[in-house]
Amino acid sequence: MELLVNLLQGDYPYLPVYTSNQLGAYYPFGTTYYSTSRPDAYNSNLKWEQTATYNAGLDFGILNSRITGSIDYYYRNTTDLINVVSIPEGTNFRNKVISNVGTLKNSGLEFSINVKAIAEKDFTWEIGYNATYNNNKITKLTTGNQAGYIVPAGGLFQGYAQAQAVGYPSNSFYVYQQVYGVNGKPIEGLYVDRNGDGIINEKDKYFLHNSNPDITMGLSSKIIYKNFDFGITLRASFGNYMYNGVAASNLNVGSSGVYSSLGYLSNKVMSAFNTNFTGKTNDYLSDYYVQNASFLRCDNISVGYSFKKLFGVIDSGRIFTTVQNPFVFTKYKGLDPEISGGIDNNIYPRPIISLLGITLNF
Amino acid sequence: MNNKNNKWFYIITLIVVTIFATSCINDLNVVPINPQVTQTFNQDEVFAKTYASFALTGQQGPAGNNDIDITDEGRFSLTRCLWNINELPTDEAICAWGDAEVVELNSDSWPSSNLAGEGLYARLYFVVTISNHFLQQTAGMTDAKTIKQRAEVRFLRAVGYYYLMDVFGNVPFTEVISDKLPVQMKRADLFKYIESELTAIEPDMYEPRTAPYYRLDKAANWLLKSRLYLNAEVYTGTARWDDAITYSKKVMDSGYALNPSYKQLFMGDNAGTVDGSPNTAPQEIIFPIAADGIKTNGYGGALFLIASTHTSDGSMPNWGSSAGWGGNRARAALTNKFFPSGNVPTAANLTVAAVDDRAMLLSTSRTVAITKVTDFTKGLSVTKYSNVRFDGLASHDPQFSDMDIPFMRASEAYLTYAEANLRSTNGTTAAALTAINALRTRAHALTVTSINKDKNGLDLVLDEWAKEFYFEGRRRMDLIRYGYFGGSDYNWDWKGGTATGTQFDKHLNLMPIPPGDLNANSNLVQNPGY
Repeated sequence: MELLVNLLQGDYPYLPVYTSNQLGAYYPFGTTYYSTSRPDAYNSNLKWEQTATYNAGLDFGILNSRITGSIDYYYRNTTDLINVVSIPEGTNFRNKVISNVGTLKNSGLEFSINVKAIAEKDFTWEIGYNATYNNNKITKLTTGNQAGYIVPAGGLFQGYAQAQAVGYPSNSFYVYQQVYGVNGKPIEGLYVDRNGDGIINEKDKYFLHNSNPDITMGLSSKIIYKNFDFGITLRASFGNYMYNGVAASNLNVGSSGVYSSLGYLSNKVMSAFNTNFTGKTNDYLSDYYVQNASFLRCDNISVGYSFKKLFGVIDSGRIFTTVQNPFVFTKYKGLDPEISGGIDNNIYPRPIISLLGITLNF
Repeated sequence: MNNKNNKWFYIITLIVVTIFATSCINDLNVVPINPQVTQTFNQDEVFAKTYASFALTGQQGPAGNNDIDITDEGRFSLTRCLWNINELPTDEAICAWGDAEVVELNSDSWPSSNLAGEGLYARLYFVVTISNHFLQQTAGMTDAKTIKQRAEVRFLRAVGYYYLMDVFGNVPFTEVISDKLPVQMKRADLFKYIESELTAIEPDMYEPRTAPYYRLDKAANWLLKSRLYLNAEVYTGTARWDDAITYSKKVMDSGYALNPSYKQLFMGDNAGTVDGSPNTAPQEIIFPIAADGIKTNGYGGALFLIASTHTSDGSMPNWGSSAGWGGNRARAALTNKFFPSGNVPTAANLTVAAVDDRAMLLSTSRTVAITKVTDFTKGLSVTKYSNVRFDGLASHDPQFSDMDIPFMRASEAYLTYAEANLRSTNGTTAAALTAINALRTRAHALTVTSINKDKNGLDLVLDEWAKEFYFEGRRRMDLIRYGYFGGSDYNWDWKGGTATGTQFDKHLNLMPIPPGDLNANSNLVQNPGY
């Protein structure tokens, strides 16, 4: 849940240092090439991030420990969050400097329960279930305090699709509100003038959802009946949204997007035909690309059969089959609803892996 | 409830409250041991870096240690951003690429942010800030070397503020580096500041043509001043034509001269004797931005000018570099300046057909009309920039440019002088005619026999600006001064994004203040219309 930290600014971001040039970056006066020295941006006030956590919980077991579980409430306060932020030009040697930007609060409830539903000699069934509710909010930003101050986040191929702002969850999407035509399709370059000043600009962006799930759940079940065993693991996540960066960066089906100046046609994604945008303006910052990435995923299913004394030489063995990632239910239109940070530039599908195995003991 | 039930129903409760805090300690704060990193100010090296901030994008060539935080180092160099902003929205250049900033600039339709604007803004403030740092570190030093260096750094800072004023209008201003938020200075006040800086540093700068090559002298100071005065009405509301005449004349009389060969100005050995070449271009180049294929290289500087105008499909004569990115080429409006009749023959070099050495255009397997913006072969190719050497020797690197960018050159003074003479009540048409014909003669073009102080006369000068300076990154300024940019019916192909040309709004005469700085600096107000 921490803000993604990108330490691009050298090893000494808190010290005033100079970086010497390397090959290709000399500068001549007359016929002599001189070494150069660049004062680097620094932040002498930079501090380590700190987190204080409080939690209170209850563990329980009932019915002779056939049913066990726990409930846990937590409150985590992270101060001096580190991020790279735009700083006022002229005040440092770079347009962005690594800074302590603010304070983030996480609070939530975790619940888990394990049930031994059947515990007979030839038949056992165990079920485990857990659920977590999390609430995440930026409580303070220290690098600016004027109304409307934000820290851009979620860097794209160009620009930013997310922002941190007081009162909003971290990594909230910060985008333009798309206007749709009567046919239900988005109208290129047309956004809602949210502040009503007659101009569509940065001030019309709005906060919409975030990449952190509100609720996550897990369910696992294992059944053993005589020589047969069956297991399944499921995972669900609700309330997490994703910026579909693959669709957004390939939206341009106008001639500037399709024809390469080198004479070939560029690859596009099929979803670009739903919008038919031609890349005229900042289409990629439309809320059209913020999509619900809630999902239910099956991590694996396995079925096995165990046996003993076969052909007189085999002591024992097991034959089994496992499928990893057999299915996922989601409304999300990209390849995978699980991308950390909420910006999806992923073009590789998660594989489904099937395994058939035999274990033999002699 | 009986005992048995108690046994079945026993409950274990455990309440754990833990409070802990993690915090790393000062032992983790260490001092540098990397030899590439020092904590001491090296005067000569920071001085060289101040110059280099115009030429390079970082501390490693061609890329890898960027001076600013931006997605793509070479794409957002000072040269490339400045060039795109001053050429693509005008009647001179159009680009085939699909980059967002290029598409917006091509079609005169950018929203409240444009990536080339953001890149240029950050690069120019890097120039300003490193200059401020050098001046703070050398404050009070009075040795001859430092006095000269300080004057040049103040000049470079003035150039930085000049472009901020020209492109963005009202921008944050500071001469020191501190946590205090810089205040937004009005365009007219910035004009006064730049003017007073140029006056103050003039005595400390080298006399014209006495500085080591690549360092700047008084002629650069006068030339920038003449440009300031030529555009004074745009910046302040008050015209300064007579001052433009005075300072452009000083440049014309400074010892810099028009190089007899126009072509030499844009070749790989355009540093002349410094390159060990008989190329005489340095007599005209007042502010060269250095490039060298091995020692001073990058994707966003001189190479951008060469590679973006050439394509590697075999249709163009050798330009001395393996890079041909096939992007920028001439709009029909530019071609028509050289061929008013509209008859353009097919040739790899149209200088003969145009009777003008400056018509460095290629029309073989090209069309004059741009039927498709994204097709590099629609529109004539500009062969002006080249990494080929005049002396025929090999360039230092098969890809990267040896050609310096002729950032300011003496012929600008001639056209400034001509235009200001036509516009000023004290100016004479004879003076204007002499200056224009000096350029025409050098280009082996027909001379002009008469010129009047009227719209036709001024339009002739504007066409001359195009013919002399096309693709050198200044057209936007000239169109704005003439009132021919935003909100004007002066037309060209693909103006406003349509093939036959459409008007666009006047607020585009200034680029928007980048959202990042607006957000970070509460003193800033966005330019009107955005």
